[in-house]
Amino acid sequence: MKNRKAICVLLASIVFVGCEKSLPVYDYPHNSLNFVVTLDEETNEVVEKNYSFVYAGDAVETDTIWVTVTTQGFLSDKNRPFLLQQITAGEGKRDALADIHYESFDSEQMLVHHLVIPAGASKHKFPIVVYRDASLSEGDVCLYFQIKPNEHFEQGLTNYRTVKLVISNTLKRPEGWEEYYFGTYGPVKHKFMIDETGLRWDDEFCTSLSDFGYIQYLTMMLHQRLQVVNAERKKQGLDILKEEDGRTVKFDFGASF
Amino acid sequence: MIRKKCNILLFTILMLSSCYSDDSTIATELIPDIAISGLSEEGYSIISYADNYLDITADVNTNYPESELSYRWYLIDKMAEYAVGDEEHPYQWEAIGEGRTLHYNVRLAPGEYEVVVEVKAANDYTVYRKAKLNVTTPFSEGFYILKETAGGNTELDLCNPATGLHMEDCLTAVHGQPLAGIPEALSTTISQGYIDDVTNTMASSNIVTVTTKDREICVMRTSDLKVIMNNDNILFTKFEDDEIPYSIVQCMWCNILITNKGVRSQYQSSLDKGESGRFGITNGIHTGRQVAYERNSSCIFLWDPDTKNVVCCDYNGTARHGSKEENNLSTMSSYDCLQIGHCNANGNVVYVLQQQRTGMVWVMTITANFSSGWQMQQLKPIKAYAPHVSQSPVFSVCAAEATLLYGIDDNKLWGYDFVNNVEKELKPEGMAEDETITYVSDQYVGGNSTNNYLIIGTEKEGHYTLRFYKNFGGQPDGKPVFSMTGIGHVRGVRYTTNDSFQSVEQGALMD
Repeated sequence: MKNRKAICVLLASIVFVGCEKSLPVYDYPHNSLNFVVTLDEETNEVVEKNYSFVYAGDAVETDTIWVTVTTQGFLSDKNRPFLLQQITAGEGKRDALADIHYESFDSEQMLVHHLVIPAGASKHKFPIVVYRDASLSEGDVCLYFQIKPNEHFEQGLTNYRTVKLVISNTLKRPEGWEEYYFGTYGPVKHKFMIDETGLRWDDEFCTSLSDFGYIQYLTMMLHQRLQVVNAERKKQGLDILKEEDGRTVKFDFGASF
Repeated sequence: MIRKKCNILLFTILMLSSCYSDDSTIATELIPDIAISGLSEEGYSIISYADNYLDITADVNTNYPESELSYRWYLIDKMAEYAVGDEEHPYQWEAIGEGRTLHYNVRLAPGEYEVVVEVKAANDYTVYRKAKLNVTTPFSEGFYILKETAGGNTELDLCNPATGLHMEDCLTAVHGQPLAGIPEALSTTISQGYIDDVTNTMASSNIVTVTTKDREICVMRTSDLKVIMNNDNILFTKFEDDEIPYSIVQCMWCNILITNKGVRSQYQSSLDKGESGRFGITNGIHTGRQVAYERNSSCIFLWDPDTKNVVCCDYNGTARHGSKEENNLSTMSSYDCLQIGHCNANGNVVYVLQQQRTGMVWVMTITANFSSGWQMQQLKPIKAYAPHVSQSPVFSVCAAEATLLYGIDDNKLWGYDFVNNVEKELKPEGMAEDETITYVSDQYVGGNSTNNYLIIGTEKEGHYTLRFYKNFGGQPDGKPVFSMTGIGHVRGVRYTTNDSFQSVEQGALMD
C-alpha cells in the first residue's frame, strides 16, 4: 500500500515536471516581395493608381512612376535581382504594351539597374518608365504586374502581390478627392486646380492633404481665382468655366469664408 | 509486480525529463565602494526663468578620503533625443556644476530632464547617480503687459496674481533682447497649431502674440515664450508689401489673424493632433486693429477703415460688411474707429467713432443674436453728455457690470453711461496725486473667473503702475486686489491661461 502511494506521488510529480525546450530559431527559408499598395477599405483589393501625362505638362513624353517593394524573409548581404511580369487587366480594359506604353521589364536598364534588392535592404523603390504614346488618345491603358518568381524571390502576400497602374493622357478623379472640400469632381475643374496652384492634384498629393488650414487656403484661393478667370472670360464674350456636360465649375467651400 | 511498476516509472521519468538548461551566471557586479545619496527619489520640479535655483548636495559613503574625490554635475535634456538621433548617444550631457553641492539657476525650456552627479575617485573609479527634473515656466498663466521701452522697443512684463509672480522684460530674459520697434498690439489665444521645429511635427499651444509698428508679428507659445511663428512662416503665402499685422484673437472655435488686409481664420487645434497653424488668405474685406467679441452671436466685430463700414466675422471665420438693408446701418463714410468693445450688461457692441470733419467722438451701439444677425441701434455724438470722456485719448467699454464707456481726462478717470447719457468721475483708491493716469481697460475673462479686473495704469518718471480692481457696478471696488510696477509705457494688457480651453473674453479683445 505504501509503495502504491509512493508511486502515485511520483507520477503526480512527473506530470508537473516542467519541460522547457529551446525555442526554434526563425528559419523560414522562403523570400518573397510585397508591393506597397493601397487596399480598398471595403473589398480589401488593390486600388488602381492613376497616372496622367496631363500632370507632367505637354512637353513631357516620358515620365517615371515609382513603386516600392518590401522583402519578406531574411536579409541578404548580396544584391538580389527580382523579375516582374505583366498580367492582363481583365475584360473591358486595354492592357498596356511593353515598349509602347512603358519600358519593358526585360530591358537591360531595368534588369541591371532597377530590379535589384540591394544587399542588406528590406525595402526598395524602382521606376516604371511610361511613354506618352499617341494611342493614349484612344483611351487609357492598364499596366497590371506582379513579381515573376526567380531563385531569390517568390510572390508575396495575396493582397500585396499586384500593382495596378492606369496610364492616360486625360485627368481622372484622384484618390483622396474630398467632395466636402473640393465639390463634385470634373476634369475641367481638376485642370483649373492644377493650372492655378501649380500643384499636381494627383493621388499622392490629394491623399497627403491633412492640414485643414491648408485645405481652407487652397479652396479659398481657387474660389477667388475662379472669380477672376470667369470675369476675364465674360469680357472676352465667353461663358463662365464649365465641364463638358454643362456643369458649372465652383468651389463652394472656399466661397463660404 | 512492484519492480515492474518501478521500471515503468523510471522509464516515464526518463521520457518526461525536462531539457532545462541553466543559463544563469554568477553575479559579477561588485557593490560599489562609492555610495551616493542625497538626490530626491521622486525627482525635482522647478519653475524656470524665475530666478529659481536647483540646490542639491550629494552625500557620499565611501572609504576614499574626501580629498581624492571630484564631483561633477550634468543635465540631460530628454527632448534632445529628437535632435541627436544617435542610439548610442541619445541624450546630450551638459555640465552644469562642480563640487559636492549643486547651485544651478534654472533657465531651461519646459520639459523633462535628468540631473546627474558624477563622483570620481583619484584612481578614476567613477559612480553616477541621477534624478528626474521637471521644468515648467511662469509664462503659461497670468497677465501679460505689453510695454514700450525707453529705447522705443517692444517688451513684455508678466504678473500672476495666483502665484504672486512679477516678472519684467520677459523677451529679454528669453531671447536676449526686446522686439525691435514700437509696440502695436498684444493678444493671447488658446490652442494654436504650429510646426515644432525640434520634432518636425504638428503641435498645438496657447500663444501670446505681439506686433510692432514695424509690421513685425511674433507668435510665442506660452510654455516657454519660444517664437513659433513670425512674418516668414505665419502664412502659406506672404504678407502683402503694405500689410500690417495686428493680432491673433479667439472667436469661439476659430483663431483669427487680423491685419489691415482683413481676417484669416483657422479652427483651433487639438493638443494631441496639432495643425500646421499657418493662415491662408483673406476674403478681401479690410479690417482695422480694433476688435471685440459678441457672445450672443459668437461673432467678432471689426471696422473696415477703407470703406468705413462695420465688419462682422462669424464663428467660422467668415467676414461680411454691414449694410443698410440687413443691419439698419447708417452711412459711416465720415467716421474713423477709435475703439470697439462689448458690454455684457445690455448686450451691446459699442463702437467709439470719431467724425473726421469735426473731430467729435460718437458712440454707435449694435445688438446681435445667433439667429437673426445684428442691428445697429443708435449712433450719437457724446460731447454734450460726456464732456470728459469725449476728450479722452483712450477708451474702454465696461465689459460686464454697467453700460459704461471709460475715459481719461484731466488726469481723472471718467465713466459715461451710454444708455442713460450720464457721466461721472470714478475715484480709484490707492493712487498718488503725482501719478499720471495713462491706461484703463476693463478685462472680463468670464463670469466665474477670478481674473476679471478693471485695470488702471499710471506713469511716473518712466515707471508704470498697473492696479487691478474688482469691478463693482462699473466702479473700481475699494483698494486694488494687486498691482504691478515696472519700467516703460504700458500699451496693452491681456490675460492668458494654462488651460487648453478658455471662454472668449467679452469687451475689447485688444487695447
